[in-house]
Amino acid sequence: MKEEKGALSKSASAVPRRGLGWIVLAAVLIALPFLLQNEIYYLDVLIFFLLWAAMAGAWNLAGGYGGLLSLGHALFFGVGAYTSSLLFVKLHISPWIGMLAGAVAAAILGAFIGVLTLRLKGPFFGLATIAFSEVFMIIAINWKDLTQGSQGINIPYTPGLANMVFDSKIPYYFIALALCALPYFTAKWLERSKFGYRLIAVRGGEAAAQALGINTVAVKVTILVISSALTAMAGTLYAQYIAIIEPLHEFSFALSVQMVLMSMIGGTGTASGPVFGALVVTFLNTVLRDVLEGAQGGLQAVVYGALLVLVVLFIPEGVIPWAKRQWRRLAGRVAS
Amino acid sequence: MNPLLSVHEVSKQFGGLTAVRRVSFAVEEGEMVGIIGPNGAGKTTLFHLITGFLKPSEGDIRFRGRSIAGWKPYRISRLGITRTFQIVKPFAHLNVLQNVTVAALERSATLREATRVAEEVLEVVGLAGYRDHAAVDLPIGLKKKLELAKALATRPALLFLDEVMGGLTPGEVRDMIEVLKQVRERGVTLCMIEHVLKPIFELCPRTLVLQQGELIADGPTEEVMRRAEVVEAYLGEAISDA
Repeated sequence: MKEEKGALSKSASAVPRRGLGWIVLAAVLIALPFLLQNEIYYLDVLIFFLLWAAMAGAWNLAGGYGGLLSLGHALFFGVGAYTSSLLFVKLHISPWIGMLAGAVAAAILGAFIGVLTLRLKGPFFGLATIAFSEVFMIIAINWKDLTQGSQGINIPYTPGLANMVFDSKIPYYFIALALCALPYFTAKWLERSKFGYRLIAVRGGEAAAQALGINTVAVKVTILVISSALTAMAGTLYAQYIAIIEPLHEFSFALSVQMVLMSMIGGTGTASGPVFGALVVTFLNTVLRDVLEGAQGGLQAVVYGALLVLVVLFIPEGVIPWAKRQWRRLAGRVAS
Repeated sequence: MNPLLSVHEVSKQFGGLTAVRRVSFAVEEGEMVGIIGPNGAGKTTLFHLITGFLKPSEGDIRFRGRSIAGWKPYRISRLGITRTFQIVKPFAHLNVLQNVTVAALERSATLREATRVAEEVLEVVGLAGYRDHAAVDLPIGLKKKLELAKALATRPALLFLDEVMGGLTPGEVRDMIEVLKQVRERGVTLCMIEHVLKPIFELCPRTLVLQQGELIADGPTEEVMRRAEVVEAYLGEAISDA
């Protein structure tokens, strides 16, 4: 039998070295955008990487730690993007407030879907999330007076901190970094909190968790609410950064699947898995764009698909847990 | 005074099939009650009904005088009634200690306190040496002990054990009997379903016999085992097994 640290707990001896690692990482992350100041293209890639990591990380809280296989998380992303954009464009409310409003709206929606479907067994939850995002897409396309339909909403270029519009990419980078850190540290908190223990237990076996006094439905709805809110915040930043949102992208199934894929590649139910997955996908995207210049988007999808098949076949738990296991095995061999 | 648990005229129908038919019995504080019967007699269904995993079609279930029929399982568990499952499935992604910690959460103020309770319980059942092992990798005998440890960590007043001896070697059965004796000494009231009769003889002064959903005997274990219909129920099973 192998020793297993499980999804939780860390050994105490690694703490000083770990602390140093964090300081170095923080320094690199802070310095990076300034070093790339004149490399707009790579800064853009970096911002997208962080944004993807934020979304995948938010999905992973519910989908990974909670085992709630949502296939419609674009719903929450879109609600975040549309809420803040509409408030900004129509009512001139700062996107910072809009970001919180979007998070609250998504949280309420998440709670509603959760209460409706998470007491049922079977695939109802996953299907409901797809259905809801399709419904919201149709609403966004057809309610032209409010959303301008498929034309989308433009965010006016009026730089200023209150408007969350900047003439440099660097501020976007730091907002994206913060949004990426949020689900990461939430995941870390889950790994050492009562709520997190309950959640991981529910994912492992619902009936067994109930027999031990855990209100499994409440636990699942709670994590979905947190996950929805964080996904929506990424939506707001996306809208502000790209300066245009459109229903066919913001509520798309492809976007939902992207969040799932990145988490699965990196490893669901781990804090760093989605970050790694986002890194792989961003890297591939960038390289493919360079290599396949002019080729159709379909080819990228083929490469993604192939990558996912390889991961699922050979390292189904995802790259990060697999790598950790290999590392431990190697360390054990060296020690003995 | 009210008995700890009273089951009154409880029935459960699945469509046209009656799995449990008008079963009544009471359990007093500190008792150890065995529940036996052939496969399909409704033993596990009865456990499901009492612990909230199924709602009774008819009848009432009272715990310390309070009706709990139709309550959600987690509320019943928090009240002090816990169960083990016949098919043990520890929480994946968690090690042995963490599995038991989860069970101690609801009655602990902090994660640290829950972990301390879990460590104590692992000591009692003799799993302390496996605390850092992946729970899913344990052999069946230890998984059964883990299942018992999880139930104990909820600090129950009344514990339902669904075949904790199933699949154990004679040595492991011995061991488990000793653990259960300790559990009884800690003031936990026990009801246990068993196919293996030895632990029932050794642990339970009283036994209930179910057959085709009906309670056909309830009394002192030695006496119940000698009764003709009980022998018949078991012989019937023995023949159909062959």
